[in-house]
Amino acid sequence: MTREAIRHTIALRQYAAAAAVELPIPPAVMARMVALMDDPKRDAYKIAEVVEVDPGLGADSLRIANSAAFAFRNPVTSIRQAVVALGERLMRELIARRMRAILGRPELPGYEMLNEGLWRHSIRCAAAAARLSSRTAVSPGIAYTAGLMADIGKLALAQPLRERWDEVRARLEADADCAFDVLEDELLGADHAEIGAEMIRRWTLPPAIVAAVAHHHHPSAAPAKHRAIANVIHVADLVAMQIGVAAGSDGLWYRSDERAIAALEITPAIVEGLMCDVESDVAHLEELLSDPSA
Amino acid sequence: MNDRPPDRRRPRLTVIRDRIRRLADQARPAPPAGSSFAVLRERGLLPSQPPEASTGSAQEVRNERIVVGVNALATARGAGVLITYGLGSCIAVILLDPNSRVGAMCHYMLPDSTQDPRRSASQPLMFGDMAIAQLAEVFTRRGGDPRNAEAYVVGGASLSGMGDLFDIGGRNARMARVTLERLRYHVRGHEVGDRTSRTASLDLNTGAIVVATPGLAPRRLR
Ligand SMILES: [Fe+2]
Repeated sequence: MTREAIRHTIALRQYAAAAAVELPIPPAVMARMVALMDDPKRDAYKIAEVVEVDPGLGADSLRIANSAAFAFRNPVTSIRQAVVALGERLMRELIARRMRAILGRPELPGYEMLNEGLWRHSIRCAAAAARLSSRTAVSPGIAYTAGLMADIGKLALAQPLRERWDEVRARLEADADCAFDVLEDELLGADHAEIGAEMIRRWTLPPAIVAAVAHHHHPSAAPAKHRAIANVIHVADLVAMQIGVAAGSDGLWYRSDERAIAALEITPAIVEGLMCDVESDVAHLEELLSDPSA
Repeated sequence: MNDRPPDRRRPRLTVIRDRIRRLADQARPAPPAGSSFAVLRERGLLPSQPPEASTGSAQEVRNERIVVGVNALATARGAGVLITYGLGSCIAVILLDPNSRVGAMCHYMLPDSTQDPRRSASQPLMFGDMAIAQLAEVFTRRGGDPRNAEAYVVGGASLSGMGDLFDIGGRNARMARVTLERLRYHVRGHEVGDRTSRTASLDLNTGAIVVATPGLAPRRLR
């Protein structure tokens, strides 16, 4: 390891430690949920078994199944019923709502995201990733979870970014083609993607999710076995950025990776269709923002 | 669910859902201080408090903040602030008749309804050509005079590096220009393109139109 690389690793660890967040779902339960989402042979029985283990998740499941978003004709009274009605989608909903506790800051300095912007961007990235996963062998639930966590590293860089905002801004103004993650790396010593991966490494998620978070701005550099999921998260993030609903000071200052776009065979029509689909996928989650009982 | 026959109630449900979302938007708390939005608020361009359940005092009407959601539009007359957040590649078009003080704002996501007949039937406000046509219609219905009207266009940012693939912003902006020209609205000001996300507001008390970008000082278009 060169001295430069050692310094970089130390910076990464320091940022990740400073912004340490707890997984909002018990790690063992989360691990089983993720394993099930990746298991094509799962059934309602297995999903219910996992969800029932945690009393909080059981209660959440009933609340989700009975929410206006799903509007089933009869009230859902058991976890088993909730799982049968929603299937894998129930697990995605549980994870998205629990992650709000971490990502849903009213304000994120530096990135200047307001009204839970980081969470609102992340649920869009997750929804786009789940849809894009069908173009690969990646399972939609894994793609969804990775998409949700892609930008978690911004929590660690928010304050340092605010402190050096004038320099960042000068660089953005000087170079219309620059990439925000490169700026982060140059000015703050690490970028939000690799810091995010470092933050979630302790959560014992599948390595594919950690790799996808680490490489979501340059998926071509991901190890070959994780390249497909990194490609998916990369394009999903671009689609969410393009919608713009919850963009911050980093705006659309990112570069797209041509090889990822070619690998997923993305066309303008696909991008436009995804933008529409994503907005309808997240509409019911957006409604939580104005619902104090949620 | 996907193989359901086409349901004629769908458009109505969408309208109702949009209405609920707009109401929800209005109930959302004001963004906290410490950002470019704080600057807007200091200058009186944003209300300091979210609108309460209205008791009808003049002050509340003056400060009423009407949030225009994605793929939605709204109008106001004489008082209140029309505002839309987070325009990435999306476009906000603002029409203002300074004499009657009628204002209208839309926020659309995609340029061309003819590219997607299925979606444009259920969500016309998603597409620039149809959204602007409807905007002009509600603007006139609310009492705006097209001959006095000023048009403003905000948004249309793009990602770099992939040409057309991620240039929806550029195509959205072109659609705004073409449609407004066709409807004979004069574009008096615009801030479109580049790579920033923007928030646009129209204050009908003062006629001020302001564009804000996270991390930058707000700009006045009018
Ligand atoms: Fe990112």
